[in-house]
Amino acid sequence: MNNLNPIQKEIKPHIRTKFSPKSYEGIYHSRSINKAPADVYAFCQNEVIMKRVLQDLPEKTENFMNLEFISADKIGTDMYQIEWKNKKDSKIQGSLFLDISPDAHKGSVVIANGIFGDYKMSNEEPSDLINLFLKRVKALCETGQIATTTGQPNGKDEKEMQQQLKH
Amino acid sequence: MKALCYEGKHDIAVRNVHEPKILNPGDAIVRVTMAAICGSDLHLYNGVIPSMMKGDIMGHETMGEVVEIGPMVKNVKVGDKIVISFDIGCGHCSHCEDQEYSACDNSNPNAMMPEKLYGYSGAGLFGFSHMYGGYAGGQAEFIRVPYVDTNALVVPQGIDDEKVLFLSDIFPTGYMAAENCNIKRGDVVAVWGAGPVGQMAIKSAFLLGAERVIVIDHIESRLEMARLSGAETINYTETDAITDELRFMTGGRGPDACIDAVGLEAHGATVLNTIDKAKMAVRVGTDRPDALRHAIQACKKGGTVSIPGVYGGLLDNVPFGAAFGKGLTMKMGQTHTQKYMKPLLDRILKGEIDPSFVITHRISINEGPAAYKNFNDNKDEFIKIVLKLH
Repeated sequence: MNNLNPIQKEIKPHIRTKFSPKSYEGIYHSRSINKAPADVYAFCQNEVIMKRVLQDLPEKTENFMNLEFISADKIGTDMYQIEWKNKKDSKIQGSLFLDISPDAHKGSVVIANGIFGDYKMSNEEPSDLINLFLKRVKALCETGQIATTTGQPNGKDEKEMQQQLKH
Repeated sequence: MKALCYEGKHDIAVRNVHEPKILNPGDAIVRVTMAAICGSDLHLYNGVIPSMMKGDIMGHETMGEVVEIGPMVKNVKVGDKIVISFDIGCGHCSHCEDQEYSACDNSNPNAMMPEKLYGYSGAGLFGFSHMYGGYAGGQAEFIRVPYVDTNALVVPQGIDDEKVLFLSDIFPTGYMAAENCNIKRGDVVAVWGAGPVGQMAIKSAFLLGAERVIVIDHIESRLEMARLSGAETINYTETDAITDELRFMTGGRGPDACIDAVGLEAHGATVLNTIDKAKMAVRVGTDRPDALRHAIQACKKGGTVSIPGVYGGLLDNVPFGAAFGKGLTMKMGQTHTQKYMKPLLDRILKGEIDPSFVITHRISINEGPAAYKNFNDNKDEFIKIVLKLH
């Protein structure tokens, strides 16, 4: 135990106590967010903002990302937990754990956990979805926007413009 | 609007495309006045950077006038003349706060692609493949600039575009390459590649206190330009052993620092480079790191190898044992352009340097496709091409 880093020491025991052994086998990803844990916690509880995290996702991920939050708790000093589940399929659930970043790093560490039950997605890795979700939370929390190129000009526009001219 | 678009390997075309629009609240739309073709654009042209798609707009060295801003923009206003950094920083993640803009966590919408290849993703880049975000580039009449508060330098009205355009990439890139050499007064710096970045590295090395700069290339016009900046030169086609030549020129010590401003498409007629070419041709190799091999071999014991040249994949036959055995320091990576733009603008305004010395060709957008071909074929003594858009 002494060789564990602060995240392993402090956050993993909470995961162990909060989840059943089965759910502990879920998928985990972590990211650092350049904001204090309390700010990230407030951010993640804001439904309007969280809808923006989930908007404009690729169509095939929409079923999975149809989420609602079921609980949010302060579980220690600068440590928070938010639990969520899928609105349509209760087997799909997970948590966000927020803790202060270790040592010299700034801000928070967020661990996202997802349990997928027997849910199957075509051509989509559950691990990628959790990672994408976390990445979007981080981007929106830090910058107020999610990087995109959807809708930018492209050389293929020319064909479309020529067709419009014909009509 | 007109834009230079990637159509496939060795195929750039002028296309009519929609004008860009604000997509995020931190965006700005810029009417491009001037853009440049970079040596690294040729890596895309030659098809050696993966994930380019037909129709992608090229270009990452751009400047122009702001014509529209999003509601979150604070530092830039409509009418400002700005130079745009080639790398895109969000300005808020821990890397951007530490001025490591090209390592930004948030600006690459396709970050999961490089995460799988490299472990982590760097910043998004303008016009430089979908792995780096798929952002439309600046060789177009208009460009959308995301996170414009972080990625624009407002320049004084009235200053000639040509004097400041290269703050977008090659001047900061050459400067960071020299800065990474930790130059002390009296040092000797060797630079592989006398293209635009190499030329800026030469000037920067002198600005930072190098006593001598020795440049290695095979194109005589580029070597001549390097000599005009005060460098000594080696035409590698005229010598059998670059390392021996450099050892001789430095009294047996070797250069204190070596800069590889060539990157993944080295020319040269060594056996290893010939093997690299064959491997790339049949797609079992990704890079031709011949300049890097020479830089490691030639560098003095305890010296520094600085690598601004772009690499993309897995490098074969790099003499890592030599690097270890001599205790070399190696520094590399995409430039944190935004960190250098303002201090280098100050140097330009003080008259310490005029980066436009590197320009050899001024063209219109319609001449772009031919310019790419000629630049790639080393025709007409191309060193730096600028496009006048408005």
